Amino acid sequence: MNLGRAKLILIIAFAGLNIFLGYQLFWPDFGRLANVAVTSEELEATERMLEDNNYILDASFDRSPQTSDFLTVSPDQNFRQKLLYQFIKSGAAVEETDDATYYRLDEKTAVVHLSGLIQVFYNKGVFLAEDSVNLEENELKSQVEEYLQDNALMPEELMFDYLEKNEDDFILLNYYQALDKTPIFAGQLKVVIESDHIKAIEVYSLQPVERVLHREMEVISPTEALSNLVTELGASTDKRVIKKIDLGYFSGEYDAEKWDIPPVWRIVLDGYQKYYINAFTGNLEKDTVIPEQLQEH
Amino acid sequence: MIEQLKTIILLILVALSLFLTYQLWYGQKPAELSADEVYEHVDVEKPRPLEETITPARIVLTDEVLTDEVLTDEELTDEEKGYFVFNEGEHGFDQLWEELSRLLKEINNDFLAEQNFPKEKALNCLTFYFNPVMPAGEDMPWLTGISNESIENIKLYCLDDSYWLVINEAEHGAEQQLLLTDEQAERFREIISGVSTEDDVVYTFLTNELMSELFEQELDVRVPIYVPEGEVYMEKLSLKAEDLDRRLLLKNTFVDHRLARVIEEKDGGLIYTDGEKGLRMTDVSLEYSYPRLEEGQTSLSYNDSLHQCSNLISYYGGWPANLRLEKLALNARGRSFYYISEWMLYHEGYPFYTALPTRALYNDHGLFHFTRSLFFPEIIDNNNEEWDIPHNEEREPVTGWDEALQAALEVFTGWSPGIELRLRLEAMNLGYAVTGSNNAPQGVPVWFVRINGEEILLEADTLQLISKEDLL
Repeated sequence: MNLGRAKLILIIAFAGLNIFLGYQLFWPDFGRLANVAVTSEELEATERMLEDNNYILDASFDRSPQTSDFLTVSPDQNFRQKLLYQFIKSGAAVEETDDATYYRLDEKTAVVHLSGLIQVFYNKGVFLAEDSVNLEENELKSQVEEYLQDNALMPEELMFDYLEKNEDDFILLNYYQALDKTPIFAGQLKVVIESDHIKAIEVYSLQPVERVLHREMEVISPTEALSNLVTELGASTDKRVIKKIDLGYFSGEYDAEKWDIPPVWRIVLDGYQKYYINAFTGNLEKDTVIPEQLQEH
Repeated sequence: MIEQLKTIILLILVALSLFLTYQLWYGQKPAELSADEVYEHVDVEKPRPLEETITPARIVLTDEVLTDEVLTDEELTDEEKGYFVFNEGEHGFDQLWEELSRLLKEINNDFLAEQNFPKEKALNCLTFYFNPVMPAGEDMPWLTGISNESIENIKLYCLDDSYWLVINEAEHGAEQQLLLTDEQAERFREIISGVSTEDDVVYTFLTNELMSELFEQELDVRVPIYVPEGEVYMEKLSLKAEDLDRRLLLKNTFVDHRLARVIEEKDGGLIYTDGEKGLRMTDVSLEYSYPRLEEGQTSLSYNDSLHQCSNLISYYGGWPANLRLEKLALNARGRSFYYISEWMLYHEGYPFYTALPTRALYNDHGLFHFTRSLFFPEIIDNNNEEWDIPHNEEREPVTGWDEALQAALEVFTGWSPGIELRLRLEAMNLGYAVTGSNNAPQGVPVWFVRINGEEILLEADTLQLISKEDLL
């Protein structure tokens, strides 16, 4: 047998071996090789389904397969203490009710709910700038953020989300928390601006405890999340535009020591209405996941 | 040139095969969402057979049967009669029940008596009360020869040397009489004489007449209630909460428990939920809820529901010794029907009263609510040996039943002042209230009294009220 024939036989043998190994590794999910979670066909089919139900997809998303895990969080006690310290230092009158504690000063009142939600109401408002409703978004943002930072009202790692405006000089600035640039949609800051004044602030700040890495799993694709949302909402009578679809973490507010929050696909409709689809189960996330009977304790 | 190309291809293929082999051997499997691979085999306790699911609520032995000169029911007044009462977890209870169960399995309709026997000439020596009722008839372990029935009580009458079994049906109050064979009668005779009653207290049967003699208020006794007449001694018990296998419960509850999130409450309780169903575990209790299943119908028969409740308690923590099925009823909420099963743990014949009952609510869809809170006496010391049961001198005497009932009536009247109600005494017995802290639970001896549906727990020695908030 000459060397050439021996090489040929080895080539055939190794080619066969590689086919066998490849089959064992990738079958039945050969789609993984293409490294996309959403194929062009799937995307087109989803867009058609959305259109049939009067939804327009006007958002882009990452089509590669993605994984995520649970994130354990606890109420952000540091932020709360810093904020309340200012009220107490200024001589705030404290009043406790069954579900909230009030810290009253002449010019503002802080309401701390059992769930951890903090609201600050300004009696006369905090003046920002003349004609603030017509300010550029960035300029308005920087003015607001400057005030928030000066007054210990801005938790760390906060990211600007979006701005809502209406014709009555009313502006709502929305922020969410983030962990290593991954949004924690459950942690939020909202600033209410009315007639050039900050009228109220609402903060729900969470302290990330740990990422539950041993429970890392592949998340559902964004197209599957969109399909699930449309199934849940049904066909729309008016045309609705899907403005954003992002992967992050979300859960309701709990009066608890700490809790796990799951990854979600957040879908923003018409620029302001938000829905959260659990990225593991595909279910629409509700405000609370604890069954009613278990909440009675 | 071709040879060089072959060499390159061969090298590439060899390298690729090494890489693929490495990936296959050591490489991480891609993350999976599918639950297909997370189904795990779980070993749960085998459900109890029907014979062990239903046990008597109590067994009452007439003390007359143990005397040399046996009188008849006709010759004895209620006041003259004394009884020995055997409850779950008490010596003698299992012996008597096992014998009756064995007898009922043997009996078919051949034994049905054609003529009634003269009851007034006989002595009702032994009574087995069933609550929940005992199923009998075809496809049942007991009395297979008769038509399907629910039995409320079974009485054993002694007439000269013969023994008669009188079976009372629950729904229509129908009565069937069976004459025992000599062999069966002998077995019962042996068991009755073998049951030790030396240290046992004699009980009295509460009647409306006795109530009107003792109390100013009119008190209607509608169910058979036996209370101890002599001195009873009880002790405070050191308890320990049941140690449940949390991991197993998680696996049983969630198809893929990796998808369940954990919420740690401020009191240390843990809630596991997947958004649809939830499992709450504390140091002393377990609660499961699956609200979506609540709206449903129930086509389960009573007998099927007995099987089902045995499955459920075995699946969610197991069925330990001396835990008795106390209640099984079909309930309605709106248009939905469901079964409610409730269990109680007994120690030496006395039940434990806890804040959270051990209870299952289920319908055709399955279990939608379950609570479990069990405490066991700490009778095992560090050397794994049982402590000596304290003698009477170390135990506290219990206040008499009449004083306890008077105190309970005062508590009840205090709860609804000025309201004239016809009072019904629905239950009265001694037991243990589980109080204290999660770390050091205690079983406090109590009188349990139920009047017009209101449950009252009074400390057995001081008759001080124990509120439901004080229970663990």
